[in-house]
Amino acid sequence: MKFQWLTTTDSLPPPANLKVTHRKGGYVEKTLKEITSFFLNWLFSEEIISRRGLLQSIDPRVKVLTLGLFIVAVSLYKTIFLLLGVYLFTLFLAYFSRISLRFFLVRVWLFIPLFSGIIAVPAIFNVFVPGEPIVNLFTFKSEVILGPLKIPETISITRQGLLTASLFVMRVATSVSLMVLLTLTTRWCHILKALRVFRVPQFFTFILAMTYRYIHLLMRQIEDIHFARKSRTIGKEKRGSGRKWAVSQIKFVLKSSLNMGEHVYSAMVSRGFTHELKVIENFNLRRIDYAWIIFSVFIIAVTLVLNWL
Amino acid sequence: MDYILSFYYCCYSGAELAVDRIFEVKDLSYSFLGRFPALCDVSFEIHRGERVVILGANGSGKSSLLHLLDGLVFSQKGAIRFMDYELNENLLKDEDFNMFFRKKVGLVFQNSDIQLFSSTVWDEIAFGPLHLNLHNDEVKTRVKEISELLGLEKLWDRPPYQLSGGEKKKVAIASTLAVNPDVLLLDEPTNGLDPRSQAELVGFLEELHKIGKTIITATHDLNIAEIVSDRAIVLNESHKIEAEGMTKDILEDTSLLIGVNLIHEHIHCHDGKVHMHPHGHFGKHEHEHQGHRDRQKD
Amino acid sequence: MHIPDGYLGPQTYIPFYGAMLPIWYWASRTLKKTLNARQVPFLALGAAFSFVIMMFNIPVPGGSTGHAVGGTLIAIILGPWAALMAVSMALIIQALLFGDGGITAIGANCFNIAFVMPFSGYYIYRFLSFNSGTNISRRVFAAGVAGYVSLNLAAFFTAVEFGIQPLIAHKPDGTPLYAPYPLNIAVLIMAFEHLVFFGFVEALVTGLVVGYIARTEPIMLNIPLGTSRFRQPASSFSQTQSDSPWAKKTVRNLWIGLGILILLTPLGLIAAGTAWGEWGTEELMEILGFVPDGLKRLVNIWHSLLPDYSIPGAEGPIMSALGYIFSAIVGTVLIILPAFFISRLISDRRKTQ
Repeated sequence: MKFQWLTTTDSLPPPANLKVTHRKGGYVEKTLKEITSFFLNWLFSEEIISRRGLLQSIDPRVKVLTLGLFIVAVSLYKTIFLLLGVYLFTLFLAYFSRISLRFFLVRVWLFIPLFSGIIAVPAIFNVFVPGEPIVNLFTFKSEVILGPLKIPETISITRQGLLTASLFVMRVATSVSLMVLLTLTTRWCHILKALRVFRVPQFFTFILAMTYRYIHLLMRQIEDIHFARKSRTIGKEKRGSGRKWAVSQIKFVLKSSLNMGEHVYSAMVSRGFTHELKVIENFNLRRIDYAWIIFSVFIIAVTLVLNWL
Repeated sequence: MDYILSFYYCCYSGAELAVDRIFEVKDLSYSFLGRFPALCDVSFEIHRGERVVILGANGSGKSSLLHLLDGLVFSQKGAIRFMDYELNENLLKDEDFNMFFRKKVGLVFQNSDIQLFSSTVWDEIAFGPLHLNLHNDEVKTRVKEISELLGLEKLWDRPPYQLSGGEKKKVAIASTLAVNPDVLLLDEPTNGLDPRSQAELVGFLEELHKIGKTIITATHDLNIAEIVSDRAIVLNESHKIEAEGMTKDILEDTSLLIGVNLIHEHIHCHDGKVHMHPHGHFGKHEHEHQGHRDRQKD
Repeated sequence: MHIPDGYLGPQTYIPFYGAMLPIWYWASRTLKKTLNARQVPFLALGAAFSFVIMMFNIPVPGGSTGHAVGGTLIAIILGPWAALMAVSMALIIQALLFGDGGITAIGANCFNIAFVMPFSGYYIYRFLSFNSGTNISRRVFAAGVAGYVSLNLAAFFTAVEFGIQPLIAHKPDGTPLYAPYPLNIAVLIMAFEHLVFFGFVEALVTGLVVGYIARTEPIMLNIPLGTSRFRQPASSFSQTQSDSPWAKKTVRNLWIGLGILILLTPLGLIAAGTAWGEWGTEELMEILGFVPDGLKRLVNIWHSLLPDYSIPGAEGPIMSALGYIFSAIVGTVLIILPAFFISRLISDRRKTQ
């Protein structure tokens, strides 16, 4: 009889022993996690931008310019003290911009500085970076050559190694902190508009803005797709089916992107767009902007002088 | 609201349309990609100041028709005349005509997400006026006043995709109105809107009509059809015009409406019995218990 | 593979900005000419797509997941110039708005991922798939290989950029100021990761998506539906020099391939020791304990201009590397010039006959 299976209840008993095993997240989980964190970060930012803090009150163009200069300065520092100093400075800025320090630290260090820290650890050994030993660890009979690697007789932790690892990590962390300060306190559309000041052509900034918008739309679609997949996956998957599905999703996203493109163009044409993009900017400089410019330039100048002395 | 609107009318009315016949559509046929038919030998006229609704089930060609009327796509067969200009690709490539046409006709798209592509609501509303070469100060004034009209000032700094359905629709309408078109085309405007937003929207359209705008709405939602229009054009599922006439009369022609899949045999329950009879919830709503079939509840 | 701030010093990142500015300028000029207004949203979509692809987790054999970049894929669909812009924009957005990848490193990142990868991938794909007509599996194969090679090429450039940091930017006592690992290690690790793992992920994504497009919308890939063997119709997206015959294209591809190989020659510096059989007298002394008489006599007959592929007088690793490249260029020119003249002679004779 047709539909018999639909009219009878499945005789599956509920699982007897509930072992709480940590199922390793498959690719669906992983992607979903990334997507969710993407949206969460974005949501947090909206809230922080609207707080009345120091950096939020500064004109976006000034912010982009000064924080950019800071990052360049950071890339020039040769001593660990200057890097630590500017890093502490970023913490102050975060505090005065009403960003919770805990949130700020997590946001900065996860994930690039942490990752950089991990890959910098081997550098403290003289296997990779030659230098004066501080602590001697192992001594072999003689040098060993493994292809391009020369392992010295004595493996030790070197002064140069420690210094380079610290310089590296602090430089990365400080640069990321400065960028995070910018992104947490400025609307993305303002960041893009501020680029116009640097003579980035309008063509470019307009498309950048559209791109940002599309990213959100695409992410939402992909999130839906992954939720759909997750809700329909029972048990383990056949090998290879996940791959096929992931690729088919890329195809789907591609298709809907193209579709979207046509429609957006129509919408733009309908309101008068022909070939040239026009934008109005509403930025005004206030006293706090001037104060901030003077302050940052002063600090950058002093640190650079100290750096090169 | 009325005061603001009449102010709007006085300031932005522009030249009186000398031509009474806005659109003349003759034997229009259109297919997507040359393969999928969307419209078949459609002919009708639209006059200045009219309120017309284009009714049809999903897939009957309403959206395509509006895109054709807005000069976004062009037909393979037949012609559309806008104020005695025949709309074709070359004509719209002419910068002067394009500027003129885009100022006169505005389209509110079905999917607001696609229509709203700017980074903030403010930018979105300003897009039209900016690209129609209005002076910066004029653009700012228009954005300000249109936002006041629709209650959008608080949303100026927000990205459009972050808004609720009703807010998005308002922004879409604001950005279309900011160029002050004489003709407003609306594609399924109440789709996905909550009841309050729907009511607001419909009321607003009525106000726009009062100040002289020509309003063409495409929808399958019969609930709003009578309020937003005086005249109706019905498309059937074969992409042809099934009927034309006063909206009131069309809506009472139940067999016509069933034939084009705008209403359905409705199943509802009362008096402990399940009834099935052709039914639409609009216009006069009386449960006449004549001529319906009784079905026993299982 | 996106380089964050702090990994590269200004000696490196500034030249890369310098290199990218004219490239971007050229790209926007080319696109403005060939891209009509209706394709502007597609460029943004391409960029968004590229961004999103970098976020996708793709399950790979072995049970783990990998990330793809998609640079070659976009180049195959939109053409290399459009891909350059699209991927550049995705990278800029990542850096500027998401803090993923540094802003001082934008020049270098764009060079590696938005320039080297799409262009090499595109030409490899065209070269391998030319004349394939409606043969879809050949295109899929070409796309896969293009993805694999272009990604590894980009990774190689990245590794070199890392690897030269300790050489060119360090304190007087030798402490590296930026990325701390020398060339041999940087290249080793990056090469390993990408040759063994990420390259295949990229090949997979590129190949399979191209296959799908070839089956469902062949027009997007310029697949001729029964046209002449030697011409490929230009699509509205890709920037092909569609008027030149395939022969010119093939030759051009070969030049590019040659150029790439020339740049790759310093790889030889990594291998310590001497290739088997290419010993000089000192090495022979070490190995055998003596040097055969005949060899002794012949050793000094020829004093080369570029001994050991290096520029005489130039010491140090960078100079050695440059020496290799210079030698390669000289060698190439010396081979090609006579060949060129000879072929000219032959074709002239043919013409007069």
